[in-house]
Amino acid sequence: MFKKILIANRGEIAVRVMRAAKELGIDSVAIFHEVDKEMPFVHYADYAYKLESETPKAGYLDIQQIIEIAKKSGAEAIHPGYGFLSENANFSQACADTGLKFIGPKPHAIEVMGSKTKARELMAEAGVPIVPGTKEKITDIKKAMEIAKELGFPVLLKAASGGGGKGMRKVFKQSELSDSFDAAQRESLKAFGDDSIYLEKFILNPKHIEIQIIADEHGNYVHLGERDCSIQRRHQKVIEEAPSTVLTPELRQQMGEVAINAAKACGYVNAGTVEFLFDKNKNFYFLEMNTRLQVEHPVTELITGIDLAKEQICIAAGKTLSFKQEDVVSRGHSIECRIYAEDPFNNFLPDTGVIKYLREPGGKGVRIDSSVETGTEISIYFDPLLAKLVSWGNDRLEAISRMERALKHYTIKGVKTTIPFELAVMKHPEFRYGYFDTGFIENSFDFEVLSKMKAENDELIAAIAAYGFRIFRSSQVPVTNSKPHTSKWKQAELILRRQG
Amino acid sequence: MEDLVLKIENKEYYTQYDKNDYSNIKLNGKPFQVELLKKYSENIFSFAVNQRLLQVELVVDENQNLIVSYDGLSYQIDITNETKKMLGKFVQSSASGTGSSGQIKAPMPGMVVKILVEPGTEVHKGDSLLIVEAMKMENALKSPIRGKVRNVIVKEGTAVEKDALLMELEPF
Repeated sequence: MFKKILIANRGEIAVRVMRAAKELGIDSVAIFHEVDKEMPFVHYADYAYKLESETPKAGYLDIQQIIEIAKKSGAEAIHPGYGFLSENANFSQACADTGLKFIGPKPHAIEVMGSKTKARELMAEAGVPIVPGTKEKITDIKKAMEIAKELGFPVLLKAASGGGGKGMRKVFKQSELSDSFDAAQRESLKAFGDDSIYLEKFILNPKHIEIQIIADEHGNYVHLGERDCSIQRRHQKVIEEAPSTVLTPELRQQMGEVAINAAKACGYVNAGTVEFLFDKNKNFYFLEMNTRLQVEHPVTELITGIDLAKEQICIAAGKTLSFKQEDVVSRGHSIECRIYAEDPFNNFLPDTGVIKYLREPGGKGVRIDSSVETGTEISIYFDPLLAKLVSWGNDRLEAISRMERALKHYTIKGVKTTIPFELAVMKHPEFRYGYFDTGFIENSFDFEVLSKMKAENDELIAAIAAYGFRIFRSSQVPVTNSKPHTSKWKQAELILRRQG
Repeated sequence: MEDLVLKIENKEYYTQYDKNDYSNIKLNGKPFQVELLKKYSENIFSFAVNQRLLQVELVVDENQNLIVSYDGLSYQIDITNETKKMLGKFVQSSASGTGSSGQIKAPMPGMVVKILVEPGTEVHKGDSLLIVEAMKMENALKSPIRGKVRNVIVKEGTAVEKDALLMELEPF
C-alpha cells in the first residue's frame, strides 16, 4: 500500500479523498493556489504545497508543476478528484511516465471515452445501445427525409464536424424538416466549413440514469447499481438519488451488464460511471462514460456500504476488489442535494462572499461532504459548490423526510444558497411520487412556491424586523453592513470565469 | 419609538410598540412578544416570537434597508431612513392638523390603505386609527384624544384630498 498520496484537486472532493487516505493509514499531500490558503481542504491534509500560476484555476491544471510537487513531496500516487485534470489522458500518461501511480483509468480509456465519436463507435461495436441515428454524413434533404421517417420524429440535426450547439436543430414535425435542414447546413458551413449533417433520434425529456462501475487491474468488473440524476438546472445535476424509482431489478441487472461491457470495451480500470438517457418507454441509450469518481458518488456509498474512494486507492495499489458482484447488496434509499452558492430566486446566479456563520445538520442518516467553514471566502474563481448534503433512509420517503429536516437545520449565512430550492423540491408532489425527468425544473417546478414558502413566515419575520429596528436604532446590538453589492455585470462575468 | 409600517414582499404590517416594553409589538393589531434569546455571531440571533424559535440573520444593507434571513430565505424589510424621517414629520403634522376636536382630517392628499378601527372602538390617545399612503409612503394617523370612534367616513382604497374629513371621534 502507498504511504503518501497527492490529491490534485481542491474543495470537498479533496477532503473526501484525504478522509479515505487517513482511514487507510496513508499521508495526504494537498496542493493549493494562494487564494485557497485558508480553505479547509488545505488544512485537512498532512502536507501542503503551494502552486504558482497566473490564475488560480491554471495552477490546478498545470500537469508539469503538479508532477514536480508530487516527486518533491515523496508521494507515490496522485488522485485527481473530479473536474480539473481528472479526465485528461495526458495527465494519466505523465504520471505513468514519471513512475507515479494515477488513481484512475489508463490514458487509453480516458481518451476514447473523452471523444464523443470514438466512444459512440466503440459502444456500438460492444453492443451498448446508442441513440439511433446516422453514422454517415448527410448533405441531401431527400436522404435526410428518408432517414428521419425511419427514426421517427422528433429528430435532432447535428453538424457532422461541429460542437457547441452550432448547426444543431430539434425537429418535431415532418413539415419542419426541410427548413431546419437548410438552416443547420448553412450554420454548419459557416462555422466549420462543412455542410454535412448527422441525424439522430431526439429523446424528449429523458431521465438521466447512470451506472457506477468499478474494476481492478486483475480483470474483475462489478457494477454498483444506478443513480438517478434527473433533477438538473442549466443541464447540470443538482439533486441525485439511488436507487431510481423507475428501474425494475431486471432492468437494473441489464443496465449493469451493459455498463460492464462498456467498461470492458475500453479496458477500464478503477471507478467509473456509464451515463444513459432513459426514455418514457424504459429504453436506455448510452450518453457518455465519466472516467473518474463522480460528485454524486456518496448516494451509492450509502446504499451499498462500499467506500468508493478507498476502493479506488486500493485498486491503484494493485489490490483485488474486496467484493464480487453477488456480494453487492443495496439497502434503503439515499438522496444527495448539492448545496451551491447560487440564488435560486434569480436564475441560479452564482453568489460570492464570506461565510459568516455555518451550522451543519447532523443526526441519523445524514452525511455532509463540505468544502467550507465559518470564515471561508467563496471567490469568483471556482465552481460554487459549498457542500453535498446526503441523506439515507430505509425507504425513499424516510430519506426525503431526513433531507427535509437536515436542509431546514442547515444554516449558511453570508452567501445565497440553493437550500430553499431543494427544500421546495423535497415537498414537490411529482418528486415525492418519483415521477420526474430532466425537464422537471423547466416544466414541473413552479418558482412561485419559493415565494409562498416565504409568505408562510411573514408575520414572524415582521415581528423580528420590528424588534430589529428598535435594537438597530438604539445600537444595542452592532449591525454591520452586508457584503458589497454585486452588479449584474459582475454576475455575468462570474459565470463566464467559472465556465472558462 | 413611533409606530412604523413595515413592508415585506408587498405585504404591509402596521407596527405598534408597547411604550414600556418594546418587545411587545402589535402587527396590524395582533400582539407578538419578541425575545432575543441568543447571539451566535455578529449578526446571527436566535429569537423567540410568541415562543416560536427562529434563527435569523439581521443585516442592514447599503440603502439602510433591513434584511432578515431565515431558513435560507431572505426578506427585505422596506423602510428607509428617509421614510422614517418623513414619517416622523408626518406624525407631528397629523397631530397638529387634527387638534383635539375629535375630527380626523387628512393632513395631505393621499390614499386610505387601511382602517384599523370601526365605529364603537375605544381608542387611547396615540392609538393608530388608519393608514394613509402619500407620496408612496404609508403613514399612520393617530388618535389625538382618548375616546370612542363615532363615525368612519372613508373606506379603504379611497383617495382623499388634504383636510378631507376621514373619521369622527367622541371624547370620553
